[in-house]
Amino acid sequence: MRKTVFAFGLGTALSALSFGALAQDQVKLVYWSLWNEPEPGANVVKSLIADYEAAHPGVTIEAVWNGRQNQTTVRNALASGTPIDIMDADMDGLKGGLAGAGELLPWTDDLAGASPDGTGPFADLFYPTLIDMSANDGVSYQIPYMLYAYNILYNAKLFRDAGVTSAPEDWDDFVAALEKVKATGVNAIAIESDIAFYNVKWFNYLLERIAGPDFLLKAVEDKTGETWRDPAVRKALDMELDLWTRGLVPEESRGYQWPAAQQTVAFGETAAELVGSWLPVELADTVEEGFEWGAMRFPAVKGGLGDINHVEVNAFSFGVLKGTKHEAEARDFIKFVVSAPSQQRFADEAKIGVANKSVAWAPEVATARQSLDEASLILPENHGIKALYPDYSTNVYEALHNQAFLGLITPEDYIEQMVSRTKEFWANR
Amino acid sequence: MIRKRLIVLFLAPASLLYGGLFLLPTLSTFYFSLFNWSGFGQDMTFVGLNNYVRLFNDTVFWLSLRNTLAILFVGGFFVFGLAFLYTVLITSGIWGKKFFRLVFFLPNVVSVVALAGMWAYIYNPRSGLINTTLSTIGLDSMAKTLWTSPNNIFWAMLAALVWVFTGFFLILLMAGVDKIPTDTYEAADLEGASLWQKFWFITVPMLWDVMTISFVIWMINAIKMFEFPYAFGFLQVPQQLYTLGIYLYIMGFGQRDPIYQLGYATAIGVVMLVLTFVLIVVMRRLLRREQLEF
Repeated sequence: MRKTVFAFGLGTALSALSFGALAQDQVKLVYWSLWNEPEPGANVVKSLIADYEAAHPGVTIEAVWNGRQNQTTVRNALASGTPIDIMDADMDGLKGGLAGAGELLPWTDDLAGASPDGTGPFADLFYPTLIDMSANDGVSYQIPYMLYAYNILYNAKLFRDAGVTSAPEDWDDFVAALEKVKATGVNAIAIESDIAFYNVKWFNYLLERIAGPDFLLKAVEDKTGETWRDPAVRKALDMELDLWTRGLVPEESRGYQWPAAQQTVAFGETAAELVGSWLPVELADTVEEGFEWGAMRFPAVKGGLGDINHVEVNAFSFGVLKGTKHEAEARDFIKFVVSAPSQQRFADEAKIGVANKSVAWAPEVATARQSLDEASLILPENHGIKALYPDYSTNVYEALHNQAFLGLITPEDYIEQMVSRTKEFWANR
Repeated sequence: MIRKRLIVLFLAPASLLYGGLFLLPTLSTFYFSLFNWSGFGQDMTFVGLNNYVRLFNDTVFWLSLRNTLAILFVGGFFVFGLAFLYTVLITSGIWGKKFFRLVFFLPNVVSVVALAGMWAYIYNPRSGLINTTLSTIGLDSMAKTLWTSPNNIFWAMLAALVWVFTGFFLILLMAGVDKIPTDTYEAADLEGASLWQKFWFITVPMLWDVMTISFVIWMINAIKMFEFPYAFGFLQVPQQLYTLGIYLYIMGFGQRDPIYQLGYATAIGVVMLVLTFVLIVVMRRLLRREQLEF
């Protein structure tokens, strides 16, 4: 009896010790996510978490689905001492936010090391310049995993019906192609009047094609504002406004509130829209079976300093919070998410573009990917001003451009206001 | 003495809660407005009144203030104009008083986001309720109006906002009217008073207190107006819809861009608080009347 009691006691003690050790080894990573829980991207993340947990029995990952304003939510949570290990946000936002505030851990050593699949340096996994573009003063604090290219996305059938069989590479040819499309009785270009950050892409690209990729940042950083009087600005404005004058953008677009215009693309009433490569996913439930998506690079301008192979992008990135107690596990999970098999799952199941350049994109966005493969320069949102001068980007640049683009102010007013508001911005800074 | 102590004792929990959750944050808001602060970490730089000087020179701040005042005064004119009109009509003895009261109040029980989405469909240039109705009745040129174009979007939003708020103030005013003794109206009827005379000489004076408190509530709502114009702008709020509340949010929380200027945003908050306080004091002085007892 005494032996039985002793054995039972010993067994209980050993069990308690082993449970204690297990509990001590168990790591719980807290991940605050930019996805909304019902989104296809969130479903992929969930399945990746499940796979990672299965492969790493000592690690559990708790995901909190906050949506696109995740960074703001994380900021408030950090202020109240909430422990968070991993978070994600759009790349420029993160660069100007948590990374800029020194709240994220650097990735310099990891990027110089081997990639998760052992095929070469970790940094080589990504599209060229993407890592550099996301860095703050040369130090990378984020790992991009989703990638969207801003292209002219179009209904290939409508262009074919109009006799346009190859993507125009020059602005004049582009306008001529749109005229042919319009002649078939459909609208050429879709515009959402209220989404200034969509509409400004016309101006970004035209300015880049005319005056080169550095012009926009130079104009913003000119404290006198006088760079806005450069003839390239007026030319870019005139060229985009010409689309309205020619009736290539329907007049009623001035009253469209998102998603009214993109719905006309889905219904085959409008042929094209300049937007990120997320559009086919957004419209997946609205377009008819067999809808054929195309994506063309923004055309070049004759005699301009820019290049048709300069592509503006938007990306989503992960960051590891500097307060994490599980740095190694957090980094390991992020490396798992950007490995080719995981990224392929994003591409196949959520039909989203990914940052890992070895992964094939879904057919709906394959042409958008092609524009990135052929890109000689990848440009950040608003050519870097969104991350460097976000209040200028939102309150001055995008807002005033939208007013000019939609005809609320004249090109002359626009230029004068850009000069004075740029001066005001620097005086107040 | 014991009674006084008991009063203090009973008031203490509420006072502590109020002080801790409202007065202290309000005072700290003013404190934070004196700093350059992103809200990340504790790295704050004292800038004195610079944030207020910057506000004075900020075009977007003045635009937001102008929009806020337009909501307050133009919106207020229509909200109360319609609320009074409906009060007179509904209390004039027509059938279905409760039904109409319910119908007008209904927007207040629906989510603001849903209401804003509904109005976006109503204003849709091609398939919206307004333009298709105008087209159906033969007003083709009017049916081409772009209600949400940059020139019109603020007024389109304001019209929808008036529709939302009228029902709320209608309920308040009708509750006041219901308290007015019916024999006063009966006497007026015997004297041959018109509907307008009854409204102006009986309803308005006897409703004065309710009107004053309604104006105060509207003023507070209008100055801190955020939800409806924000939801109306949805994915990216156009600058034409910026109110002080929206601009505070954009500067402090960034919406889509990493602006994060929490010190500056709190300065906007302080201006909103001062504006509310000053306008309420002015209004209460203007509306001060001798108490009418009935």
